[in-house]
Amino acid sequence: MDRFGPVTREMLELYSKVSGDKNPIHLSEKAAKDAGLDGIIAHGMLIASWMSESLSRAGYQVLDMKFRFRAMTFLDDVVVVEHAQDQDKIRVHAVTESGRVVCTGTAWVTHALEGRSKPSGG
Amino acid sequence: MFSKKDKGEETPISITAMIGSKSLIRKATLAQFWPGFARAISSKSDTPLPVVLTAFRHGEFELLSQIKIPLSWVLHGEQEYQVKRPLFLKDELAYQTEFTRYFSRPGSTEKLNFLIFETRFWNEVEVARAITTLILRSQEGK
Repeated sequence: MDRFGPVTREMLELYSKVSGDKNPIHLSEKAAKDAGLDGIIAHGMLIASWMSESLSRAGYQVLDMKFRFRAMTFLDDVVVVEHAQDQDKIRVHAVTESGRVVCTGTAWVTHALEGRSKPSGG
Repeated sequence: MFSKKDKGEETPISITAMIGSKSLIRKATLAQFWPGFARAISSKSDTPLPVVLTAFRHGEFELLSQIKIPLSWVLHGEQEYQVKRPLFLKDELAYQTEFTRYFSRPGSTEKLNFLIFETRFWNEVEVARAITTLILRSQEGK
């Protein structure tokens, strides 16, 4: 299990810059509210990247991955990533500390990197 | 990707195919790019994770601009990576993004439209494929 965040404006500005995703709902409160959202939301791919990083920290070499974005992640949200092995794949999900599932995913693992621990699951 | 049951009606639109220009990730590009990307995603990995590929695509934003969809009404629905081998800092890859499919289906509160893009990455052989599902929220009743 890994914790990421809390989500900050600086974090989203940096991710917008490196990813090239300049969607204003990630950067401007006004743009987000004009689009009918409750406020600035994090990039889905930032959350997916945290999920991918969590698997990497657990020692997995992941190639194929599939993510479905379930709910929005807002400023100040802390995201907890958990994963569990399911036969030849790993189920991974990202949940806010308040219990909102924001992204679920599946990863297919080629091998665990030597010298690192495997995830304990869940 | 969505299952057939989830998929909803295929809806023809005027854009039937759109292919972005072919671009290159040069030999030094990932080595220069990855450390900054890694910082942005809190990664401790020395080698690029497949999610870095999201930064390399051409055509999605251009298409949305072409069909006059404001970016702020676009959400990311799904993302998939099919990667044949790990990425290396010295990788030199060509890549190209293609708009592959459009469909719509009713959501719980509004009609949702889905755009699917695929970006292929290759050198002599295909190395990776990134499949992006964008959701265009309806602006009706805005």
